[in-house]
Amino acid sequence: MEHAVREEQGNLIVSFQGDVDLEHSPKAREVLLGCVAKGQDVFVDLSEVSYIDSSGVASLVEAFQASKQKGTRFVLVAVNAAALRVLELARLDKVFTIHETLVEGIRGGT
Amino acid sequence: MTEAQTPQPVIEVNNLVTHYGDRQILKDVSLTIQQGEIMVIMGGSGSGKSTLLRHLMALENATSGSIKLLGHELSELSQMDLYTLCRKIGVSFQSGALFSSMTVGENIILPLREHTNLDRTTMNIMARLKLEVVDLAGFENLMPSELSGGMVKRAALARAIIMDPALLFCDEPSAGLDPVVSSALDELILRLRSAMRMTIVVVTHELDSAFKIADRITVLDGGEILTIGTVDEVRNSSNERIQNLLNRRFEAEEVDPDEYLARLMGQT
Repeated sequence: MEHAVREEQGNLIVSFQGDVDLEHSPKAREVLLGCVAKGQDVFVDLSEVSYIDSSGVASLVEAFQASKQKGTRFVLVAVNAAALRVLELARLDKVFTIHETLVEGIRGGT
Repeated sequence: MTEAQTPQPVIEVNNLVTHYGDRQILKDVSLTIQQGEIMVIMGGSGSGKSTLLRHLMALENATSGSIKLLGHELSELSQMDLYTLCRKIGVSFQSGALFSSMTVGENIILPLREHTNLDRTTMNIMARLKLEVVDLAGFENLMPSELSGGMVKRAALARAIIMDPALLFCDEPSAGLDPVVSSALDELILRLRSAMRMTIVVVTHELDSAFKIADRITVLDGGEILTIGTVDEVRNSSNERIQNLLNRRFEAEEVDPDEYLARLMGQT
């Protein structure tokens, strides 16, 4: 798994590439919680994620909860079909804010 | 994993022969199971289906033949390599096999504690996610003894999938359950395959369940494979022994009174 963080219009854009699995999810968790801790809105780009397991999903859940406590936005964007199926399995597609593109995510509501 | 991946063999069994003492249990069994496939293994009591499953779980030593799981020849693996391989395999036992002294949540989280160094919060969320998936949300603090039979099966399934295994073995997942609960478990197995792209091997004697979930069915009788085929191929088979199974007469085999008595007296 690789990741990148950049800032756009005061938002933090986190993108992951590759497998977010048992081996790599601790790093993903660290990156996500670190971004949320900065108090900015966070947009997580999952378009290049080839596989995400439930440890990766758990990291997303934890970061999402942390953002709610901070009163900031935590939005998933460009979720590919494989990742979406994993989220849907636990009905998390009803929990997360998900947008098809980053532009829509930044423009959209909570 | 990519969307357009070509299915790869996840399980390759070649000419497997096994004995318990002098008794031959499996007779030259060969089968291949592809990635993402749901293979149902059927047969009556004593057909060898549970023995085959135990071999696939690396719990038995074969007399001859070979088994390759996820590309690894089992007989060539060191204990450490086998341990590593087992992290990619989930098992839902017929009895549930939950630890009675632990809560449901503790049972489910156990493989994560044994095999990973994940943060405790991550492990807890993963366990609750799996409870959501098997429709047991909110039951994590109950003891296994407080669960119904169907709930035990679902909790066992949650534990089996806690590590998101590439390969899932389910031993009689529907046995002893009422039709509604059984059907819900079937749906769950189908959803797991669809969402997680798991390869799933189900041992069952429940015909309805087998026909609902199977991509292919392996029919065992007397330790040998009668056929491996799609649901339609098995249904339409002209093989009398297979038709006996489909007509639920598999368990009611002819009894030779003399032979039976001799068996009881230990004379065979």
